[in-house]
Amino acid sequence: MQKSRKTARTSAATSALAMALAVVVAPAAAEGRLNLYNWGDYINPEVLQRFSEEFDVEVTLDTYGTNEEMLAKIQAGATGYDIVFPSVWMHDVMFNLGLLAKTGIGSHPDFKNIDQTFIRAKTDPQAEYCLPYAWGSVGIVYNKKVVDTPIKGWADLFAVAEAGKKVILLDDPRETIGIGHIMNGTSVNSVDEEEVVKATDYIIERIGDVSAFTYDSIPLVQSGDVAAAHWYVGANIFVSQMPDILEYVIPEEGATIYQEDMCVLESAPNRENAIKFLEFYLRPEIAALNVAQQMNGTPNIPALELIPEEIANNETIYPPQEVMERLQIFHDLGEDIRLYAREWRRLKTAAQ
Amino acid sequence: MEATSAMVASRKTQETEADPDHPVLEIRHAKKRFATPEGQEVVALDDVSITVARNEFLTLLGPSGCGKTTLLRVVSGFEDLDGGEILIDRQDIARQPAYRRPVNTVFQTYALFPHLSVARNVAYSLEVARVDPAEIRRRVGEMLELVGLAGFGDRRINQLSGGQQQRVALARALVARPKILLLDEPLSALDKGLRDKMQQELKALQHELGISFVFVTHDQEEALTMSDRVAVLGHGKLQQIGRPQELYRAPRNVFVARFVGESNLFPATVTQSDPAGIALRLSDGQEVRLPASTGNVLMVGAKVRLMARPEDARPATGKNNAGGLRFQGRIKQVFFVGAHYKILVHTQAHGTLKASLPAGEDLGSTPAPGQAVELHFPPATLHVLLDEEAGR
Amino acid sequence: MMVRGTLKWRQAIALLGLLGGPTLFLGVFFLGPLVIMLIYSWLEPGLYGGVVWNFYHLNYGRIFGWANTRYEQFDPAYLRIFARSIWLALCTVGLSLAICYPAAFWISRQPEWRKNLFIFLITLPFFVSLIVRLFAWVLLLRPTGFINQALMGLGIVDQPLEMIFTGFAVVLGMVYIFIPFMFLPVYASVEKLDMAMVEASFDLGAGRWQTFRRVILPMTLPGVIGGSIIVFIPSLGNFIVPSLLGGAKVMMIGNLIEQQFLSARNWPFGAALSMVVMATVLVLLLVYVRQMTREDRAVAAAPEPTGDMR
Repeated sequence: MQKSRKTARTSAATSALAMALAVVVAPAAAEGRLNLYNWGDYINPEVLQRFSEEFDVEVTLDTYGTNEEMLAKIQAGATGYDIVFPSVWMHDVMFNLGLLAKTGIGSHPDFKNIDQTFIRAKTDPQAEYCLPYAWGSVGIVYNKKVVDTPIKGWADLFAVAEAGKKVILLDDPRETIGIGHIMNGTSVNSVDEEEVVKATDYIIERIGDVSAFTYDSIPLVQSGDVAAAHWYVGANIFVSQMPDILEYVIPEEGATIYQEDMCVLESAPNRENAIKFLEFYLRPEIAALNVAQQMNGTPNIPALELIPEEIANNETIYPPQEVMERLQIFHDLGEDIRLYAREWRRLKTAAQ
Repeated sequence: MEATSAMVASRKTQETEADPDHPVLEIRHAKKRFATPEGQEVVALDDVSITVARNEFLTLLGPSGCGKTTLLRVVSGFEDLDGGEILIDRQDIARQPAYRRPVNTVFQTYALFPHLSVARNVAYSLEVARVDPAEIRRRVGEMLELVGLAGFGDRRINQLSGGQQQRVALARALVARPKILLLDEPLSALDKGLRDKMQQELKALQHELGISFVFVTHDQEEALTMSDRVAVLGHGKLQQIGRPQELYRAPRNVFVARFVGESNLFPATVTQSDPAGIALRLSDGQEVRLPASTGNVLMVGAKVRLMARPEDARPATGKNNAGGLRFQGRIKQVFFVGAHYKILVHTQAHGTLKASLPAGEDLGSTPAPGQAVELHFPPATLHVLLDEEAGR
Repeated sequence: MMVRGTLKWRQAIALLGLLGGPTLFLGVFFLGPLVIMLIYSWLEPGLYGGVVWNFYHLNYGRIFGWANTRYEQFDPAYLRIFARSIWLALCTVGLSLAICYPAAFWISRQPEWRKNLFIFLITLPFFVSLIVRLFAWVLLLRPTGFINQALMGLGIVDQPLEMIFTGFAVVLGMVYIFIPFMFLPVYASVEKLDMAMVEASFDLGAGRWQTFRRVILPMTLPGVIGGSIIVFIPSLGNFIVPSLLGGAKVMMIGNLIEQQFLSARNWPFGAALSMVVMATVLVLLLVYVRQMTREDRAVAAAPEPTGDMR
């Protein structure tokens, strides 16, 4: 449900606009074609350029803002796309709906580069379909000049809010109710009605101190209008630009992690090129090229040696093992998503 | 019921007891200037004073831009005066807003309210004054009947013809019984036949209601037909005011002579002036003696103009040779207009002259272009004009 | 008879030719989606969006009160959100009218070239993306934003006003977006208003207020009502402004519907909510149309007398 993964500059409203943007990378007189359908700002254009030149393929890129939007479009019969980038739980959903094509990427010799812990989709344990693409935590970005002591976790965040400084949470039911689960010690994937209600109550109790639910919080944190915001690891891009002002942390109580996999569609018109692209992306130097621009996590182990040191050494991007253990990833909840929708509406009406 | 109507009247003015012999409307030294968008200043009213008697039909006549509409708007309250006074029944109303003045207007475009029915248009002033609804119904019914629109009350304005709209506008303006009804070229949008009919009807209506009408027009025929008195305005000044006959027979200046009726004007010089009369010489050398006029004392050598109306022209014969003016020329054009011929005669000394000859008169033959003709104007028909126009 | 018949036929065919295209267009692109929404609103939600083709009444049950299952529970909150949306939309209509009505009068009294300039200026924001313009408002309204800095600089307030992420910001944003939609119809009827009508009213004894109530307002009412409808409908369903300027804390019916189609994956419930919104708007429109046409009908059957003035 995250938006544009890198800068998250868009909101629900803008995703339609983002879709209108299409990038085309093509060498003169390209032989083949490859059509990507990805989150906005979620791949380094240089990667596409390299692939296009090496394989003499014209690459086009369309973007979307939410998993649901992408699924709806594919289900509605949008053909022509070869590769999509669903979150892990959506990877499962799409597999169950029979939308994904078998690629055998898991048996490619270079697949040894991939850290096995990132083969997360329950429906694809051997990575016969998709390639783990990128991952990152969802934590807190804050303005060091506004808060008195560094924020270490969710408790600190709400303490700052209670002290009268403004904070912003994401406009995303699962992420935000997820904070309640983490603080209550329940699973972010709980479908126990009582647990979900309690997790929602945790936020509702503090909702008076939350000034907004939005993705568009970075400019407000920069200016000090807001002390802290619930945001993605991509905030490190801004932290690196303004190290004196901004800081990104993975909350000590635990947090969620997102991961997208690179999948080939059953309806892909250019399946061969699509598989070539997956294999191309197994190369450590290509994965590293992407990380250098995206500042997020890659499951490609040798790539870690090649990425800029300040990224590799950033513990908010590549956290140590004990932190990794505190991170939870969302699963598909099936029909129970409506439980969250209902609670989310309750939370929002409590805000008014 | 009388009490309510009195109440309506008193809304419009603080009733001073009307003196039947005192003028209902007095305009004193009215001055009004406008700035044009180009930044120039236009004098619309230049010290105009006019009085209107009770039950009088007064017409403001003049070419467009002469200030007649401005004068009307000053009286109705849509324009403020730069100087001067406006009195209605001796009370200065120049500072009162339009809606407090005991006058009503029939607009050139009628300005009927398209969103209201005929009856509610007519009832408007009464509704605004919160007159009792039953009384409103009665008076609106009366008024519609008076203007010949009984039964039209429920129509919408856009379902009426031009003439019918005219009548609604009249009824609407009259229903509150104003002291003065102002009419701003109300007949100009009607075709000729309807206009003639409406002229008669308006005159009859005024007579029946006994309300003073101030009527604005640029049509001199209309002015002469309908009015008790006519005020001729030109260049923001009052050129002359008087009964139609006075204006026609004795225009005060060239402007009035030209604007009211048709005329031949001859430049002339005074050669003799004594209590018995004056002698004038025209540029072609003819001399004419006229009896002394009461108004002006003319100095010998003064330049004046001599006016001769076309219908006073007669074919010259030996018999009518005594005095007056004679002109020889050739007929240029002939227009047959039923009772008479209008002819244009070219003369050497004075250019084209206009003459109107009775159709029955014996010219020897029917006048035809190219014919030589000699015209005669008897001394009694000649009129001396001093100035070009007032204030110039 | 024959001539008349063929003439009528010809007219009918000509009319068909003229109206056929638009009718087809409306049928396909307006009625079609509407029917789909109507049908979906009575179907069971699919697991991952879409629908299951089973008749299902609980979508409406959740709104109006008879649903009570694990996922489908009646909640008066839906009607509250709905009422709140109507309130915010009405505020938007009222405020934009309060701005546009006097502005239209003022602009209509300007010289021709200046009128055109102002109309151009009013439509100018359309040249910039809506999202960008709304972000500009975020920057203006935030505590360190221009407005608060200016107010504090002038000593009017000593600490920043809470403007961003409030209902006030939502209404302000919607007023800002919809002002051109209000202005153009209002201006069209104001500009048509003949000043002679106003003078006639003064002349007949009506003061300023009476003239406004009895002449100016009724004669400009079509523009006012047209503008109000054009502003009310999109305000009611708006979800962009509440999520950007309201910080998604101010929830409007549009946000609720958006959520059903996206994160909640419950298309039928979203469709049901949309149908309720549409039904409300339709009822309001019908009331308006009846109100407007009633006077005409009352007048239609008047007699046809003729006559001269007595």
